[in-house]
Amino acid sequence: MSLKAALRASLAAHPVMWALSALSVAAPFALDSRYYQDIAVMTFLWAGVACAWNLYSGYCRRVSIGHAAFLGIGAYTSSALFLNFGISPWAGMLAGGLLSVAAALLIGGSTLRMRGSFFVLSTIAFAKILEVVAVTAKGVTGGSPGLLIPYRPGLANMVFEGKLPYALICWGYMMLCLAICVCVERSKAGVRLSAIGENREAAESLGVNSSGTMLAAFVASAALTSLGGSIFAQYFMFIEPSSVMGMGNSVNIILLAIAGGMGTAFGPVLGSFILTPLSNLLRGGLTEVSGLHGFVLGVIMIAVLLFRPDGILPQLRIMCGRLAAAFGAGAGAAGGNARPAEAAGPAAAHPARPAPGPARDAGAAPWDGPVLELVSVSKSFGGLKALNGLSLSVREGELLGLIGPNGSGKTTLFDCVTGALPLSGGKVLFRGADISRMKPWEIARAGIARSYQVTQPFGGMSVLGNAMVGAFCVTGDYGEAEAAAAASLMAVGLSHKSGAPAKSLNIGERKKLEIAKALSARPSLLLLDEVMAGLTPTEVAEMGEIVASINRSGVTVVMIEHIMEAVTSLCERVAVLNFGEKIMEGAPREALESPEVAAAYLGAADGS
Amino acid sequence: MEQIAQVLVSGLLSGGVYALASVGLALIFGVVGLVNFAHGEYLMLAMYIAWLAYDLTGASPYASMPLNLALMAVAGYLTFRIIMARVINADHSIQMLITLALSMALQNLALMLWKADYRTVRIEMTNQVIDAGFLVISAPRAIAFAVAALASLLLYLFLQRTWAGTAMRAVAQDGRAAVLMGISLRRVYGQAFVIGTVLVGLAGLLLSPIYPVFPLVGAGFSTLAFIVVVLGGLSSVPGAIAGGLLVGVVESLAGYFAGPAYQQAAYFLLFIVVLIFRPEGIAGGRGGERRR
Repeated sequence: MSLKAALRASLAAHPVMWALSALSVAAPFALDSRYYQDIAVMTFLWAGVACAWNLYSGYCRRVSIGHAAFLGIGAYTSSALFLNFGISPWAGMLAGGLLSVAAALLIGGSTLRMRGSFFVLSTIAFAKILEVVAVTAKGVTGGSPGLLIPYRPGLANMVFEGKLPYALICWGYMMLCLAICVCVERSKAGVRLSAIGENREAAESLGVNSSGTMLAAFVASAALTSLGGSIFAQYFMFIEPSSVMGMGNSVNIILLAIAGGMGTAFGPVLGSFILTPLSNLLRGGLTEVSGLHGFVLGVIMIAVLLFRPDGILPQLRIMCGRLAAAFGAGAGAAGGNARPAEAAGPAAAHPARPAPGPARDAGAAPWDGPVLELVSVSKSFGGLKALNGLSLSVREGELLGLIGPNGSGKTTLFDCVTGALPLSGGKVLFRGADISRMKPWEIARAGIARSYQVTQPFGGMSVLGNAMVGAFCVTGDYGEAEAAAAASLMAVGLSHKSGAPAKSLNIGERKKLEIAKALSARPSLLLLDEVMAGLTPTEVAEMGEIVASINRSGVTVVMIEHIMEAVTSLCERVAVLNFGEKIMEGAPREALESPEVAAAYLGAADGS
Repeated sequence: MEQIAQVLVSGLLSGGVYALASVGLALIFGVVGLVNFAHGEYLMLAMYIAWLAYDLTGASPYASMPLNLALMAVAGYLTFRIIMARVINADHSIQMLITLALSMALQNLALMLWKADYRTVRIEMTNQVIDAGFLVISAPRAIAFAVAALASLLLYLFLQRTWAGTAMRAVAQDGRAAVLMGISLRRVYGQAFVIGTVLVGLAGLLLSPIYPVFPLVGAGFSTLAFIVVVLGGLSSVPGAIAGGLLVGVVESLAGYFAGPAYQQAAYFLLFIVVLIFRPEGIAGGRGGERRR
């Protein structure tokens, strides 16, 4: 049902783009020359392939420059099966898709963990190696001269007399890819992919299994691209290694997606609708100057990247929004994503703050022991012992303050608990279960969420989108996640900003967003890392109120804080760290008056 | 045995030029943090300049070298000022895509200006060989190797012995800290980009008596240069030199033992194996792949 809901929501949000994509099917029928029909076929096909590329590279911002390799796998599989065994290309297409899935699993499994440039380079290497294979394996691929598909028209052979059947197939392919992108965009996977694209580590701390999500998206993208490759072969009826798998095709795919707007469902379609006809007309119209169309496309791509790196589509949306506003029409009609109005006046300043939902019952099994127990935990960086045999237990429902001078190991302790850093020794028990070896996302799903001292917003996503990432720990449903995220934003008083991009927030709002993001994961234990640092006194008071209300709602909280007033007023108990060891534990007043603690803060080292 | 020696020596000779073509890429990546997909197009440009000088005046690429390098410096400077300087702080995927687009634009510009024909520079020396006992060495290859070695040495001295070179190394280590030490990032980036462009241009003009020039000649060398720098640890200049020599030898051996068709396959295979198992390069330290 959620698929239907996603499509319906997208239809309501982007009526113009849906209408344009759907009605474009009429274009090849209206054009009576084969030349223009050919352009229409190409436009649909490349739009579909660019959508497929976008599914991985666009959403998680990891550019693959070797996607033509999957085009090649599709083209060669269906053609070779048809030529050698007479298997219909319709079946061959699926076989090619499966082969691409296998290739993507193999390649993705070893390259997706690489960062930025290395991933990009490995995609090129992959495409080049396949090209070499295609040239060398003459028995199957026909080598450099290529493969010729015999002209025997018929539906089963996927060979047709006119261009129109091809136009329909390519249009169908485009709509399929588009619909998949739309559904992914409004789903758990889409939100998670975008979060990974913005900040992989922060995404993992909110329960996102980044390797798994990325691999799934990469495989889906490869399979869809491969289907396009089979259609490509059937349309041209001739394939050779460089015309299918060459760098030129890979670059073309990227160009279309970037120009339209990468990471948006309609961007690649729009990009192809504008650039594919332009490129073909330039090529066809100015045959005497070869190279002109490539030059123009290259320059357009540079210009787009320099001046509108988000692509044309977001720009169009803003313009439509302005136009709609100027004519007093309903802003939603054309713009879809026009900026939401600056929210409800006074309510925004003093938002009502209902307590967030009850904490998630992680294991369902009742547990009376300490929520979190650190047993002689050690962490060393080379020779430096950041944590030195530290033991600490956190009681159910308490608000524990973690204090100590800079460099005493407080943040390292959080990193060790959340799995961001592997332990050097000791163990961490959460509700009695050992979580020392678990991955960050597993720990987040078990019910521990954290905020970062240096805030880590997913800058390009909306504030609401940021808060949704964690919500998928609890639910798989997009609507429920949206509701949960809205509730978290309400709890920290950020509801009025939910439509704004997270990068537009100021420092106080970013700190609140950190908490909202963590809160959406419905943690039973919340680790707050200096959420008050850098705030004005009013904001500190407001933040104290937020933290206290979260704690009252049943969430156990551990907070690192340097603002002692806040610590003494909020926490019933504090633990003091110095040089990676716990030097004191007790009531805040007691701790602050202890000479040992004073010595640690004032620097009379080693507590002697 | 003699044949193997011959294969090794010609591998090393080509490797020297590959190294020169690649150090610029490594320098630009190390200092600017930019993966420059248009790198090979500057090699193509220098080859066309050498060919034009030869075609118009009959000058050998060696005679037109000063003019050629000066033009390459201008090309590098303009590219930096007009395009790269604007995306210094952009997301690295944007930077990469811009160089990809630039490479596409330059290839097609060359196609428009000079057509797809293969142009060759036929100076006397093209067919001369140096007969050193059992080894036979082609003269332009020997010169290319010698000049490449000299240029690499000069680059090394520049990086180690001059203030500008030291600033460049500092930026490569930590740009933000370098700024605090009074270094202008923009200027250092610009210098590195221009030096990288001139070096690849030098490689191009040294190749012009050996290889024909055509619009796509740079594309092949781009890929090759990427393989070389990844082998060398991506941002390391000495690594790129070692990587260049290695690729030259591997290519030469694969050509001898398995046939020319497998030359490319051999070094791509080497490339992907290194990417998967030692992404920090053959000689590099751990963590290089995490920098960007």
